[in-house]
Amino acid sequence: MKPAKRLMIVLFSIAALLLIGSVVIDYEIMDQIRDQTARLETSARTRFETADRIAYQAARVRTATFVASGLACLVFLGWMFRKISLEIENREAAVREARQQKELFSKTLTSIGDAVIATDSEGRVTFMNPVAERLTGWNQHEAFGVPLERSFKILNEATRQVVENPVTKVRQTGVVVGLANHTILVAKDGAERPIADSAAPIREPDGNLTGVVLVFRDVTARRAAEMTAQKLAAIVENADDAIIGKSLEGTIQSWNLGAESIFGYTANEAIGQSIMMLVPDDKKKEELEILSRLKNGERIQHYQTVRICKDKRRIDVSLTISPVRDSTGRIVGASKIARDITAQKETEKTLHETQRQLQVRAQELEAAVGARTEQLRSTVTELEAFCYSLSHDMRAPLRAIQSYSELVLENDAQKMGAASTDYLKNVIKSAVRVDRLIQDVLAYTRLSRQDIVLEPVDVERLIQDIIQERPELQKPKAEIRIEGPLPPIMGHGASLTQCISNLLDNAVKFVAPGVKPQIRIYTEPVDHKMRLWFEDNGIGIDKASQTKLFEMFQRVHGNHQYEGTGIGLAIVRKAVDRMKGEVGVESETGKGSRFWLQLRKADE
Amino acid sequence: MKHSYCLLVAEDDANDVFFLQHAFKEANVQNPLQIVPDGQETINYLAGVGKFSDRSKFPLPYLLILDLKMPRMTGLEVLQWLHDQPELRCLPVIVLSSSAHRLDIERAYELGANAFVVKPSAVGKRTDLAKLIKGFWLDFNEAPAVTTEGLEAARKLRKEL
Repeated sequence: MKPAKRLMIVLFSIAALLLIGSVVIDYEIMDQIRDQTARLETSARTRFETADRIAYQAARVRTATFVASGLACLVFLGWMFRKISLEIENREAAVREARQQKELFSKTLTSIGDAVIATDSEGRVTFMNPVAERLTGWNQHEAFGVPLERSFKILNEATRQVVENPVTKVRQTGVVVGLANHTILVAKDGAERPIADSAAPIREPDGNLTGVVLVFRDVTARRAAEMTAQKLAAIVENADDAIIGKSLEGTIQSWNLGAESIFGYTANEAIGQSIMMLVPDDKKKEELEILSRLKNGERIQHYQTVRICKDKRRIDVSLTISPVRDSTGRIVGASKIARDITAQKETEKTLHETQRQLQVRAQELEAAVGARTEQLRSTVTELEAFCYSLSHDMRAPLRAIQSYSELVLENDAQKMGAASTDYLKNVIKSAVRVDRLIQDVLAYTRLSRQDIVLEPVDVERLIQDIIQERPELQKPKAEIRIEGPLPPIMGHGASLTQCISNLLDNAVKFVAPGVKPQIRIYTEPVDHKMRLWFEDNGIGIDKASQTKLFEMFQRVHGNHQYEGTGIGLAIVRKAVDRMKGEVGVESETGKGSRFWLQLRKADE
Repeated sequence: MKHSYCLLVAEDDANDVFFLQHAFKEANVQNPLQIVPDGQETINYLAGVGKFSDRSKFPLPYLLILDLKMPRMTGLEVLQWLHDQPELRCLPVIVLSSSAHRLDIERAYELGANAFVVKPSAVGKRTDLAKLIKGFWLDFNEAPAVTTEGLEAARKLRKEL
């Protein structure tokens, strides 16, 4: 084989290798190849120039040279091949790794809780993860290539002005941009959500901006929690009660306005101090006890004790102390609510004093009532003695006056003149009247004091009995018509007899001269009661007199014409009162009277 | 026979004694009247104490007419005393009172009174009462032994009960 032909093969091989290398071989390999090639070229040229000189040298030498250079070539090619295939393997691994990383990245983006949108350098959407899709209401396909402003519309929460898109800002400034606070994202369907976001530029290795990535999240829940916390803080801060936070060692950690106004220390003065500064010396032990109870998780409620203010004033307080736990449930401190109950205590003291005074008063009053009762009792006893005396001692001389006068009249009427006879008759009449007065007063007194039991009374029979006993109520002196049957009523026999006797007495007594008394008795039901009417043909009673008719010692008619004690109707009313009934009259001068008694029916 | 037994009138008011004597006279009551002016004397008479021990002069009465309101001892106290005497408790007693005081009436009957009468004021009524007493107590009524035969007889008789 000719040397030129061999060289051609080598060059072709190198060219082929270079061709492959241009795609895959890096500079280092190229240099190595170039070196080898240069060496080969040099060696080839040397051999070519000396070929003629060497050619005629021994064939043996020529053959040896050829074999040696062929072997060298083969070794070189093998080495090259190995080097290249290693390089190809590396390259494939890198691609695989890149693909894996891209997949991991994509998976991460789709599964993280935050919304992510990426744009190209012009601000058009190139990527949107599912959270972003949900929050914006756009899906990735719709949004792809569309300017970000359309799918990511944000407003200022307070002003409701459109806020400048952070991507625009990043594109302008080229730095990471955080969102202003209180930004609202308006979704495609109009739903509004407070969000927090930030945007960062994406750059090429040479620093060129190729896009922007926007990360944001829905902060509705956080906002609500913040609001609640704020409200709670405001409540605590503005409570009238002192609300104090303290560590388990007793160091004050928080101090509200209530604490400030109750104890006098400002928050600055109090926080960091020991709670013991509020505790009087004689109560130190008590506070230590409270702290140890708190450590055991106990809650102390409405514990009344004394605390000291900044101005050394002792005040009565009611404490409610609860342990405060961290998120793991460990007790880390205590919240103490103190209420100033000095005023309350003062009120209680006043109340006690008032109660005591009241009690003293009540005792005094009771004693007074006791004394009064005793006095009354003795008065009643005296009254009874008086009544007894009235009925015995006073009636005896009356009896004597009446009887002696009668005896004189009986024996000596003829001897006396008409005038003396009349005088004696008047003496008798007067005695009789006083006697009747005494009996009426006694009857009235008896009615007032007597115990009365109400029971069914056959009132018709009772009236007939009264009439039977009294000739002046019978024919021909009087005419009494009972429009029976009269239903039984609830009453007291003796009292009712007294009532009806008095009414009938009056009915027959107060008639015009020469008129025969006529009385009609009938009943009329009124609600559950029975009204018993006594209608007479008497002289009647004028309206003015009717009102005081039933009062004691009221005599409506002149003394001379119609005799009476003025107690009869008072007895009637007293008796009716005692029987829980009523009494009344309808009358007109000259037209008779209609008296009525009203009592409960017996059958109800 | 019945009309010879005496009646004992216990009455402090001389007027009432007079009216009663008058009424009995009007009613034609022939029994002699023994008068005692108060409760203590009444008991003395009935017990035969002191001047009353002479039973021929002061025999046990056939009927006691007893006023309630008397000095020294009241009529009710006399009744109580009588009530406690084994034989004398049978003595018929008519209580004459000025008033119909309910407690007095109950107490009198409880202690053995046989009648309770409110003293009439009018002369005529009193005569009526005297007539009724005569008619019932002195004519129709049969009296216990103590009033007719004396204490001893009564005592014996009671043993047979």
